[in-house]
Amino acid sequence: MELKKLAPWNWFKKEEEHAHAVPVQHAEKPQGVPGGHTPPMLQLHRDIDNLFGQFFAGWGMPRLGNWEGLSTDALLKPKVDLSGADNQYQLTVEIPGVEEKDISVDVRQNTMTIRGEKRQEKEEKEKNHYRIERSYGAFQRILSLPEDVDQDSIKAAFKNGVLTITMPRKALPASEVKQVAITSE
Amino acid sequence: MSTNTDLVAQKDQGKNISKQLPVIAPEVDVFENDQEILLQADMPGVLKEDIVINIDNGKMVLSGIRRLESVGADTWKEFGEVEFRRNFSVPQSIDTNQVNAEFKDGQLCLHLPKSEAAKPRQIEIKAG
Repeated sequence: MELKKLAPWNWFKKEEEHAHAVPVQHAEKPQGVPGGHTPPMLQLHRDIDNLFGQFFAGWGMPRLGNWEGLSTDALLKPKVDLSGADNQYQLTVEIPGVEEKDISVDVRQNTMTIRGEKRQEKEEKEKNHYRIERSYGAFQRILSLPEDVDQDSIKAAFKNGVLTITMPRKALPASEVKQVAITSE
Repeated sequence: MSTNTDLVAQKDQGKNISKQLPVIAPEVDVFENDQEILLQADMPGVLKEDIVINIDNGKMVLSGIRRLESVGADTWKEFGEVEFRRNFSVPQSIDTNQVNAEFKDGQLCLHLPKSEAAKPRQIEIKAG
């Protein structure tokens, strides 16, 4: 039995690669200690978290500790739900308080990128605030599409702060099966 | 336990509560100026009809149920169907009859105007 077939499709393969990519160092943003070196213990923590994260990713488990979230320029990651039926996949993304025109969805090389920006309305500027719990700024999610998604007929709808993307599935060309004749001798 | 009795009581009530949804508190921003207190809450995926706002005796309960249509089996779930619910204390300076709300793009804007008596005013001093 092929073990790979048992594991579900990892929709977040690209996103994880993205997150693990070496971040571009900005001169004015020292990370950790001066000199640009990550403290060895922190590095070890990260490595272990990444290891566990990668291990569990294939089993549909949420990622463990997310160090990227600590940096100030991190993109927001809206929550997504995925479901699949025989004829289509459905992806829903939670994006409240954003207008349709501020969301973009593109598909390139089997990778779907959903991005946009949640802006704070100007009129509130002069008001005193008691609490700000909601997050504002740019957001992005990256999804790796399975082979059988018909990329030309992907549809997206936005309603009540939830973006719904439907991806019809197409039949993959069946791999050739060769019958091997058994000769009796 | 109290949670158990809750469940039983709701089962007896009727069929409109089909299953127990996880309850989460919506994230809110609260602003104030001289005229009103403005509360903005994120409740994505909730229909306008499913939002209930009750103000009673200085307490406000904000609740909304999110029902989602999904196809086939769930392969990944980060948010799902939930009930948004949160309680707030409303100051006495709020005119509860004038409270109004708008709902757009999954974002609820609740305007709580201050009563006339509570608005700041300047008292002119007359020369005697």
